[in-house]
Amino acid sequence: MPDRQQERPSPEALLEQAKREGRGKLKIFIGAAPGVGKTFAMLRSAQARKNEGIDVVIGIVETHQRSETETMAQGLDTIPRLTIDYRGLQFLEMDLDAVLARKPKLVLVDELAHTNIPGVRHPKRHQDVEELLEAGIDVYSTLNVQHIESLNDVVARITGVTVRETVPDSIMQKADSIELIDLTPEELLQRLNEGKVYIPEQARLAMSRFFTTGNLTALRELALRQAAARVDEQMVDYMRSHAIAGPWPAGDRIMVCIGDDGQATSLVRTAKRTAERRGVPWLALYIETHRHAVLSKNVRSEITQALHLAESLGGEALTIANEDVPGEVLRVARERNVSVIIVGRSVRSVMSRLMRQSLAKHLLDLDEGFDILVVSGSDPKRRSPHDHKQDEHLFTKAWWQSYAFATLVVGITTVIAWGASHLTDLPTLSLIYLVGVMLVSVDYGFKVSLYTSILSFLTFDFLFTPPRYSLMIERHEDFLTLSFFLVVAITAGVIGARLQRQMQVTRHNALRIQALYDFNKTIAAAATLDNVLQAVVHHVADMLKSQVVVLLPYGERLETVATFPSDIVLDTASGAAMDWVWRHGRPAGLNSDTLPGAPFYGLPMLAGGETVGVLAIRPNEDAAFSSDQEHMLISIASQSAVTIGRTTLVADIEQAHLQTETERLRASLLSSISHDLRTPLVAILGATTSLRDYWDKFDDKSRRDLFATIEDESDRLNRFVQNLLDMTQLVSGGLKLRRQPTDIQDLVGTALTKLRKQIGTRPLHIDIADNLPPVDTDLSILERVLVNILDNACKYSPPGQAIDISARREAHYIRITITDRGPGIPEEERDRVFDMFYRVKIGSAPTSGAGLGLAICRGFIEAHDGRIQAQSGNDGIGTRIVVRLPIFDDQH
Amino acid sequence: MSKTPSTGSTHILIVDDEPQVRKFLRLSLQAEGYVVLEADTAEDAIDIVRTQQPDLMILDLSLPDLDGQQVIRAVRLMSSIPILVLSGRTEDSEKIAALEHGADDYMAKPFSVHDLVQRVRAAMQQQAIEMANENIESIITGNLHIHLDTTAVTRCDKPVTLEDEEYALLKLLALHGGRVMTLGSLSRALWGQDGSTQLYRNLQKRINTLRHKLEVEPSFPRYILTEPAVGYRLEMLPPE
Repeated sequence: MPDRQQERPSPEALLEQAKREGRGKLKIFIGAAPGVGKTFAMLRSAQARKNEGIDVVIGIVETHQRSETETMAQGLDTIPRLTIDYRGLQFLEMDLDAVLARKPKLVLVDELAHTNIPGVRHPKRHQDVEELLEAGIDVYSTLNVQHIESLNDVVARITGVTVRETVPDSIMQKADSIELIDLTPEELLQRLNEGKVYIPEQARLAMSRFFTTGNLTALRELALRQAAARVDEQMVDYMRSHAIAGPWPAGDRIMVCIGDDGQATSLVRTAKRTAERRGVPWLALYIETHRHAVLSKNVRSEITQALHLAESLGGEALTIANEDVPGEVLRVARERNVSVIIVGRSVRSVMSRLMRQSLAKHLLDLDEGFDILVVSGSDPKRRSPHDHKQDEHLFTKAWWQSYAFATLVVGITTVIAWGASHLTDLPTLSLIYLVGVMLVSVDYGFKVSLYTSILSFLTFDFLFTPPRYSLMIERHEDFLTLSFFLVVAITAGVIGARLQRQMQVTRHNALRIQALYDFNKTIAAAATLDNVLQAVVHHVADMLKSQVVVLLPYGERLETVATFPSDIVLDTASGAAMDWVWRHGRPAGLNSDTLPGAPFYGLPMLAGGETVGVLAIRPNEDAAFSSDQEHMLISIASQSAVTIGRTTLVADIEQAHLQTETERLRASLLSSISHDLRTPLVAILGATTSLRDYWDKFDDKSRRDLFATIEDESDRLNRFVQNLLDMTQLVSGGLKLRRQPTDIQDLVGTALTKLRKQIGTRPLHIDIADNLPPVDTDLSILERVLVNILDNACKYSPPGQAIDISARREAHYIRITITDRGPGIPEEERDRVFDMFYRVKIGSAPTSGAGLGLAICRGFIEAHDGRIQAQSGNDGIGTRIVVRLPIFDDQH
Repeated sequence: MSKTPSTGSTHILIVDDEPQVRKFLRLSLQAEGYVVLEADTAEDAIDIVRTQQPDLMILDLSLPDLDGQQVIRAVRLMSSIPILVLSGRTEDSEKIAALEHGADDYMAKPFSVHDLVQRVRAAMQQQAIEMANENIESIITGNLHIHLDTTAVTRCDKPVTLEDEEYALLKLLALHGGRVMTLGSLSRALWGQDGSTQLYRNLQKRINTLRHKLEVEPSFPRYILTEPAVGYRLEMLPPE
């Protein structure tokens, strides 16, 4: 059945399950409101587990001195709380490290949404829980439904109370089981009236507004729905991992477009809920236009936060720079298989509505077959006028300069127009002013160009339209001229300003791309790990005007390997943050969720899902990074990680290659030894036993023959052993040369004497030039080289064929050649014959011998700063070995 | 084959801790007509030299109790018998040290019995000459004839003109006929000092010219042979 193919468990589903294995299990007791009895239920469950013999401890539980709860807590071990001094007050928090050290099977951590006092490792308790789960400890925790991030604004709308403490939806998804503690609103209100619900004194007023039947009913419904949805998800998970075909649509996505209108966060939450209901993946998209640069810090950080929120809610966050917002939205939608696009209903002033169409309308007009969901932003935060003021300051540092310039331009155009006023009529003069307006608008944006237009209008009216030197207009046609002038000037200003903005965005993007490109180029060229690290720290420091440290793990420790400036030492807090980054593969430190007090912000360098190292940055200004910078950083971190991985991989490969090579040599040596030691031994043993057994049957000649065999083979064995010893000396670097001035004739003579038997009656043509200077060599070593070469010449050339030996001076060398008339060495093998264990093939079979002789020759010759090479003999016949040896220098 | 009549009473001491080596040496030398004594330790060897006064000692340098070099020095304190050193050690310095300590010749293991017997004969002959304390008139090897009385040298009965130093060098080698002479001892005998590269170079030049004058093919010599890094020897060949 072909369908079975598609019903294999999806890899993602299995991965998710595998990730959960080895982790602790999380159970959340969820309720609609405080007082429904979550803590009580949790303690009761814990008692039951304890009775099963499971190691249960209380990490932190607030009993609020309620007797029935306190009773339920009895008999359970409690980890003493950590006392934290904060601003002169003492706070009690869960001692995370103590729990981790105690390593129980199950720990109770009350109030999942709690915010920790600064000084504790994580700002939020759910992060503590996350760490406990990662350590393999099961956790029971409690949560009220209004603390769930994506329900936060719904709850706010229902109850009118904004809850500050929230937990990301992802923690709900991570929960292995959820127990809903349900109580009807009536029962809850009764408990409240009986004083069974703890309410802090300062919150009493707010709470009394909160605990109304209507609110509680709505919250209860939310809680029920949440629990039901969670059950549904688990079922889907199960179906996926067990390859049960289900109704989820593949490749269907929801995309939410966020903007700078203050609705970003709320839109993201809406998208999350919609996606959850439909059971499809979703993403949040922010199109960065020129406007981004003029937004105030607050608005920009709001957008960054919304994108972070999307990620923490399980969506994907995407930032793309482009001026054509609708076009880009549709492009991404098509590319990502998006079926539903969520946009906010813009709350804009009449003016801006006139000038710019809303995105929703644009998308609807384009009608590309997407479902466009227009959502009304709930309680969009209005930007304060103060924000706008700040914008202008940010945009142009000295705003008055641009107005001064505009005034100057108007002045100059006026002078020109004045000069020309005698020659031409009014409409033409207005064109001169128009040039000025265009000039200003292209460089200084809309506001300045508007100012220029109006100033030009007034000046023109005052100076040139009759009656002159008055703002009055006498003639109808002048009125028309002036009106048209103003319209054209403003339009030109708008167009020019838009052009200017686009240029800015383009330049900005180009700079960013250039920076990334430069970075990639630098590290691609970096050969060693150190080069890469230096490139990273320099680049990041330069780009962000910050201090940068790169840390890499060595064994169980993280060590600083590169810094910029070079003398930075990480403080303890930052060190701890970086360690956390390394162990968890998530950002930490400055302005993050974990150890936000540390001066450095740490980013994991991820390659192939592994944390290769940590990039730590301390901005010189105390500002948080913009989303733009953060994206750059992530790009750089991952790029560096890949490169670091690559360089270490190269080193690993080299190491592996070396090992293989060593292994290969060892194997060759063993096979060579077994072959070359055995062969002569076989001959010797065979000859001697033959002689012993058949002495009487052999004639004299046969006996002598066999004895000759024994002698020759013994010689061969001896030479082989000598070769092995020489090779060992060369390889181990134990070769000590005693160099002396050596006469070439003496050298050749010594070698030939050694081979007297092998040479026999073979003719030798010896041609050694007279008065050759001595060479600087160790005679006993060089003798062995020549013996090897001459022996080869004897072995590989037919008996009776002459061997030529010659020696000539060649600059600072003596060139010795030994030429035989044998079969020669094929050209392509001539370099390789000097490799260890290399044997030239004659016909199809390799020649006998270990393939050590010439390798030793090369080793010895090179130890003498000489050269050895193989050529063919005269007329391409035979083999010529050329040895060059340095001449002995009398000065030394 | 007629054997030298004197060998019958010649005692040769073989010092080697390898019984296999001693065995083939013993059998070969006995076949040559020598009387063979054996020792497998340095202590035994010195004892035998003292008590039985052999005529020649074949000494392996690696012994279980003492270093062979020490044996040479100990023997030289009480005797001037020829010492022929055998060793598997390839270190040139070992050979030189042994020769400088008073050994007469050196052979590297493995070797052929034929070569060894040649060396033993040469050493015995030398010993006989020194013992007799008679004036040697001439030394003949191959077709070379060195007339020590007239300082004339002939090759194939044709006179060869040698300079004084060349003759002195040839005479030194001839008097040690067949045995290696170290570079140091040659240098000292000729110039009264040794050790400098310049002297070594001078020696090489003399050897070179001697070969040109005496050898058919100076690059493939028959008479004046080089022991790399140790010294030279004059090969004693049967008269032609």
